Amino acid sequence: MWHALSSSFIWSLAMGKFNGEQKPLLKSGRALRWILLVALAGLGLAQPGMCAASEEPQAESKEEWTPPRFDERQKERNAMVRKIKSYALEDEAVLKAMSRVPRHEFVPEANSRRAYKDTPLPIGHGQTISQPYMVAEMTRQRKLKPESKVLEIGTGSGYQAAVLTEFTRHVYSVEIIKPLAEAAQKRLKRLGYDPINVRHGDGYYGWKEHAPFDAIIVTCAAGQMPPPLIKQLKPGGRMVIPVGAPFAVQSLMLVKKDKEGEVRSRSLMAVRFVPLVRKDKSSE
Amino acid sequence: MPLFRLRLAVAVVSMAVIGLELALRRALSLRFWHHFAYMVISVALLGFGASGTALTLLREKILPRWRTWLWCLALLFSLSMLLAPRAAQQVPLDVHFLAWNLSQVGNVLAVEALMFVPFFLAGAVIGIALMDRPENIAGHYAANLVGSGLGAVLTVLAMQVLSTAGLFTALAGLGFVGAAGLVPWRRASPALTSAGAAVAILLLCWLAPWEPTLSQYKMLSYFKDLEGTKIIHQTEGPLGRVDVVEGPAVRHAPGLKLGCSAPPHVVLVTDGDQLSSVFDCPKREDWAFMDQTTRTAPYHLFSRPRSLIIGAGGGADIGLALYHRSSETVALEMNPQIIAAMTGPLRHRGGSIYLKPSVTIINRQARGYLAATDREFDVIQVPPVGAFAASGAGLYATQECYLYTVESFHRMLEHLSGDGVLCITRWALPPPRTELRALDTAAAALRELGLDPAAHLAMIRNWATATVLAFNRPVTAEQAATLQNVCEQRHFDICYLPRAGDPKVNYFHQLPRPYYHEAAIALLSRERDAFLEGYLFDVRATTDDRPYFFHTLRWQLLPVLAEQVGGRTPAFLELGYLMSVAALAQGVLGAVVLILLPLLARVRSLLSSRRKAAVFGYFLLLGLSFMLLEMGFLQKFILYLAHPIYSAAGVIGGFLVFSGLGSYCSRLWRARPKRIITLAAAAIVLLSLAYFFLLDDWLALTLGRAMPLRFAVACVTVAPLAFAMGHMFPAGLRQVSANQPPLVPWAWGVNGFASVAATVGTPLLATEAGFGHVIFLAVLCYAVAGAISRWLPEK
Repeated sequence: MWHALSSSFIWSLAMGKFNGEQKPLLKSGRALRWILLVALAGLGLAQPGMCAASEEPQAESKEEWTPPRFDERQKERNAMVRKIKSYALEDEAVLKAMSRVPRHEFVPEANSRRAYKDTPLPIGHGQTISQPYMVAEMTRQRKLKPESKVLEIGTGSGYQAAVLTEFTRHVYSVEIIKPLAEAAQKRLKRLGYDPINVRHGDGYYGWKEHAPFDAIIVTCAAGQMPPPLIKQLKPGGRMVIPVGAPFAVQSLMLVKKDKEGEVRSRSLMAVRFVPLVRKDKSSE
Repeated sequence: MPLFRLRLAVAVVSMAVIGLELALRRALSLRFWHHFAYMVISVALLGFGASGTALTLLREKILPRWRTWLWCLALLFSLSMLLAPRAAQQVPLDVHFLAWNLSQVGNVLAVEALMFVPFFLAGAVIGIALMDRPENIAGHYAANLVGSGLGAVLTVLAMQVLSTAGLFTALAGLGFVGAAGLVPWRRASPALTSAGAAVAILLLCWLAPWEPTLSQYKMLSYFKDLEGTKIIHQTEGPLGRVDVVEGPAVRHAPGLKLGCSAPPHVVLVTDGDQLSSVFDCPKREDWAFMDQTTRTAPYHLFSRPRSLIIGAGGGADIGLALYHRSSETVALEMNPQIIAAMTGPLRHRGGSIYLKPSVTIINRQARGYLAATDREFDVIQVPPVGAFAASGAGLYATQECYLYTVESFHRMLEHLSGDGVLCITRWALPPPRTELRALDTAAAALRELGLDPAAHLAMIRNWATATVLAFNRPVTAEQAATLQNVCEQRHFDICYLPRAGDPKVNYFHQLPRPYYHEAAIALLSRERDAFLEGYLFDVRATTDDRPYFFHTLRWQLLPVLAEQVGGRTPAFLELGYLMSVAALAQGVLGAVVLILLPLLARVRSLLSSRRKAAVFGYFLLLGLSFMLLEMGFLQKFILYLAHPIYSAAGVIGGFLVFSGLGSYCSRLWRARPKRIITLAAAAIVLLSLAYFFLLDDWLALTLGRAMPLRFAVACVTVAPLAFAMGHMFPAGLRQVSANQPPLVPWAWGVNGFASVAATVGTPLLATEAGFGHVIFLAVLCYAVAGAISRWLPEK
């Protein structure tokens, strides 16, 4: 326990955060933080179960970082964005983010041709890359700011995490299936999404070393809401959970923790449906 | 070749082919979901039909060496039983993407094509045997029927002891026995060859065993991908394969209050996807977490209730009853494998809940148990069945479910004590669908009993589940206050609660509007019909006539749905239904290509024939009506025989044997074929109408009896009808054969085509219109066929 506590404490110092507040305790910046990071690594205080490459959120140390840009298949991306827009999702920032992230890089080669269709696609191990529209909607629901810290449970291909970096560089992602975690880690590095921290581990426990989070997305909820995740949600934070099968997300659930720590949920319904009297449809 | 040997071989091949139908149903249910059940039957009929067409066209080439052909084809049939399932497994079919990606239709077709091969070969073997001298045919036919009937029964029995893979091996072995029996006499080399091949292949199966894979989207596949997951027990039977999974990341405790955690557990997984947790709770207090689910509500109204749990599974609901000091708990579990696991290897890992002194476990299905007992209970608990995601995705849309019907709830309400409560819990789907249907079904059952649903029903929900409470007596103010308190403490919203003062209807888990509350008010008032008419999904009460509780999509409102949900529309298309539509389209196409098109080679003789329209109409209607009735009964007997696999065995076996007997007897009557047809059609119409009105009451007499008796009753019940139905085809064929022989292949072809179409079309028709309409349509077809028969060719 002391091991974990001390690790967490030193880490907080290193990152200039303590008790969830954004107060820089050490002003010396990059150099001192790196010293502490190296010391941490040397002491072997990294948590077990992490991917070697993801044990330390290295990109946090960079002051300036802009998401990578890609030109390839831009026309197809624009068409995909137009499709998303046609569903009355008009948040410009979200649409811009969707137009920048190369979805074809996150899709298995066999399905690359269909990468910009508005459909979920299989990525192996029974997992999917979400329908672009759902990714856009989930991103919109999180209402992110540049300083927001986001935890994603279920990295999958890494596409959602990449989209999130268009809003904030503080993205943490946990994937329970090792081959997917490793592949996502490599892919994100290759594409230049350095700030994303991918960890192979059990998402049930969240990522307490970096808690609390402003937003959490759980892409693999199966009827149970892990208590550790609720604990790791910052007061005022939002957790978004797709509801339905992975290939058939029908709506989103939003869990909000108020300032007193009380949790309430909201269903972001897919349909304006009760009572749907057809003759009055035009008036709805 | 001695007749006895030939007939024995025919019987054995027939036995194997019926066994193959049932084994494929099992294997495909395991890999995917139940969707392929009817597809297997349609592919089997397609195989038989196509082989009939092929034999018609190749008759002259086959006849000179028919024994050699027979032996070769039987050998290939045996081989294909081993290879076809293995090859089908290589097809990368993702059923789930059917709504998103049409290329998956090609994969469905590939799986069907591979399943087609053994049925085609078996059809050819039996068909060639029937090319024998006319005086021998009746005996061959009888062998075919006896083999088929035995095959159905023996396969179900074999499933008790064999795994799915083992079943295929055993069937292939059976096929080789048949092939060995067909070795042309006096030729030792083929005998040695077939025996050698059999030994080699069976040895290969033993050395390199085949294991049916699971869809990667099944929960068991997901669990296996998690580090540290172990399968600690596996057992298989006719009702499915049960795996017990343990691992550091294996968790399943759905429906708990947000932030509530569950004790350590292992998970029982049936057929790879139906989950039920076995919680290790040695003390009564350990079950307190279950008190955070919506189905705890009724227990708070009693001090020491007598409880009935429908679907014991891993025992969580028994634990909830014990937590509330239930004085006596009766728990029904349909699957004997689960009972054996809980009282055997899981005894020390939470399974001990089955062995508590106040708990009685009964291996029965709910309807059967309630028909057999007159006991009363304070709480009847119906936990949610079907996985959450699968329910939402409409995977069960075309699956019959006799648990959630008006008749079922009616029977449960009759078994409540004076203050008793029936508690039905469903997953809360956004937008609400099956939850509202459960409410409307309970309301309809109460109305049948002459009670006012508005005073007898309550409904509560949390973020994951909605629970309907049906009270035997009107809800009192005291009960309402207790329930309100329970909900407040556990963050449940109240959807509907009579006599409650200012309930929180949309507070803890908020929806854009208090949809559940509004819907419940509408459903329990005079606005019901208007609400149901206007609601985007079909949430009308389900009945035994149309027991498709999970089919809620209204296809006629699809454009409105698309307008509302835009890009999410495919997520609302019910996969089970889509599979049935794909099966229908492909079945019809396959029947045209494989059965009818090859006959175009004989089109000249067709054009020159007389009365072809009558022949086409007659045999088309026979094919349609026969399969409509058979499939209708197959679905209808699921309730009586408690499971689709038993129903399939009983009905397919019964129909084959007795209709075959009818066919055999049709030759023995002295009357002219047309006279036989008229009498048979009249008998079918009268018997069908009698079944329509009396069948439910007739079966209810023995619904509570043991399975062997019910199986026998099922066979006896279909016997007279199947016997009469068996007369129509051979009598008609005799008439055509005697007067217009060129039309005979066409009669076979058209009949085969219609049989395939009806097999895959019947479930869709039953889903939309109910069994009553299926039966009426079949009766109508038979009546019209009987009328048309007078125009069949004459000299």
